[in-house]
Amino acid sequence: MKTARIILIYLAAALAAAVCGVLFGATRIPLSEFVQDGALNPIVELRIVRTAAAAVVGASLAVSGLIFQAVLRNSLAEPYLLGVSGGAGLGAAGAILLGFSAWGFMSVPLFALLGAVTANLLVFAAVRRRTAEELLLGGVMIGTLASSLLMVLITFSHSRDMAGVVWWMLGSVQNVDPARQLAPTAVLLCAATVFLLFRAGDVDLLTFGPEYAWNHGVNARLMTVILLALASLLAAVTVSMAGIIGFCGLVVPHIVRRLHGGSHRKILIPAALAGAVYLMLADILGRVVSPVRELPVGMVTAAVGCPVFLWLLNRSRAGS
Amino acid sequence: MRRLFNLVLLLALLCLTACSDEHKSAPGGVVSLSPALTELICHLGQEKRLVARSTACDWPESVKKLPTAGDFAEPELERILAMKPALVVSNEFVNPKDADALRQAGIAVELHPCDGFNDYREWVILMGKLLDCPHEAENELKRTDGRIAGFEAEFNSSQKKTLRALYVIWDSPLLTAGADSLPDAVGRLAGLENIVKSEKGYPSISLEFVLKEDPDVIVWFAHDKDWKSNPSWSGIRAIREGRVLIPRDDSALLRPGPRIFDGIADLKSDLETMFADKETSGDAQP
Repeated sequence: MKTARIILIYLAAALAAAVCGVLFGATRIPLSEFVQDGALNPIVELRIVRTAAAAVVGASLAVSGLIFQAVLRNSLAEPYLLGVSGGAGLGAAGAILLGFSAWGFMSVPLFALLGAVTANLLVFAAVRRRTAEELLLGGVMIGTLASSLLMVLITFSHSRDMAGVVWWMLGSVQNVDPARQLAPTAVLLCAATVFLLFRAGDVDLLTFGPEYAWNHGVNARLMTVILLALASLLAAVTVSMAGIIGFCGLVVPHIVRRLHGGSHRKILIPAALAGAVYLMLADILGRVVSPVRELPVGMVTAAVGCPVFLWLLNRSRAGS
Repeated sequence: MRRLFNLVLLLALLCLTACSDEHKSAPGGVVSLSPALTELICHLGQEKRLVARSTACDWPESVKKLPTAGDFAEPELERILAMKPALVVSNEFVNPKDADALRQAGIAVELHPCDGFNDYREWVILMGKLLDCPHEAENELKRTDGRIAGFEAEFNSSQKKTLRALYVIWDSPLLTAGADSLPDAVGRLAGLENIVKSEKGYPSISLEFVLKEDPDVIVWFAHDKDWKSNPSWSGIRAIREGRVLIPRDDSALLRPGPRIFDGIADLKSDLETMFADKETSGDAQP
């Protein structure tokens, strides 16, 4: 199938998911009540923001996961590999438990971003040779250290604060500031996608190994660092906005690659759109299944993603 | 010379004993790991029996002088064992293994829920027995029933419309008080109706549910969080119209202790002031 047609199909699916995201939720709103007294119904407004947030977060995680899996040549690679989740979790928990959340709404996301970027920088600073394998090991180490520190903080926290930390770690797109969080992340996602489209050939070559890429004129070490830093930054920004949402960055690139092959120029935009669709649908499910309590989107992505991925895995094995 | 040496030694020992006695608890005392129970013990006139408290126990002011023996419902075993109290009281959240360890050391441990007025009544009766002050306990029971009946009668006679309320314990996630929770019971006595009826305890609820229910007033227990800074909240009418009530002393309202009725009276009075102000400023009463 031609790339343009594939993108059109994914775009149609994303638009359909976005429409569903605005139409369905915890409550039933007739179309006639979408606009009240010349203003948008606040519930519809809330749904538009969170649907847009789910789309941007899902797309960012999928793109980030795609790059990680390609550069590290590891099927288990995911956006949080270089200590992003541990660092962000530590930053957010620190803000909540040490009382910095009283500084205002943006304090927790900013501390989470700070934690994620710091953990990332530590990985790059601590690993001397900066090959994919060593960065991967460094990321696991720093991530484990951050997770341990996070556990220490949680142990000393009060139950009310702990609920805040745990909820944040499960991920949610309910509390996203459209101007201060959503718009900058969308700009970063677009910029990263454009850059990756231009460098898709290099990414393809890196999937065969750094020596192979080097022999084809790519500065493999520099490109590895740039790509991993970009993918980690995307993950760090999304994690600061919506908490730790698992599976999206792991499952979506796998599925898209299995369906459309390994050319990154061909699958980059479909992967981003598939990630957006996946998270928008997970968010709708979380809202509809439990209208009052609302399921955390990270829990839905894991609950849905795990069986789907295992089914795909077994199906492709049976086929081969 | 030897006599002088013995005298100095004796004086030194006396000094040491005096210094250590300053923080040493009297054997046979009570350790309370719950702020509500600490307040109840003091209210029953048994403060002298307390030898240690939890870090959360901060009322009455005088209990702050007591040594701490752990956090709320989290005993520090070694410290408590060293104090050799006769009794440890707390709610049911204490780790059963910790409770067993204390019991094996010969310390009586009483762990019961302390979430509402019925729990409070049971604790009053139990404390009357355990601390040997049945008369004071009986008086407190009468006072409790009298205050509850008073609030109910006051509300019934006033013919006022019940205000629909959202109790915010934490803003992100939106942690609220559901049916059968203490804020729910407290609010009912203050003339409020909880919008969260289908969920019990302290559920985390969706903003969309709040927007749909459109509460008349938001009782904001998340003191350290700013309700104005979260953009997602701006769609809620009560937020836009400033109908957010921050209790004067949330510890009085969130602890099922003897001060709770004063807390309810304050809450009621603040609600009346808020809606009287809204009426005079021209806003329609919900």
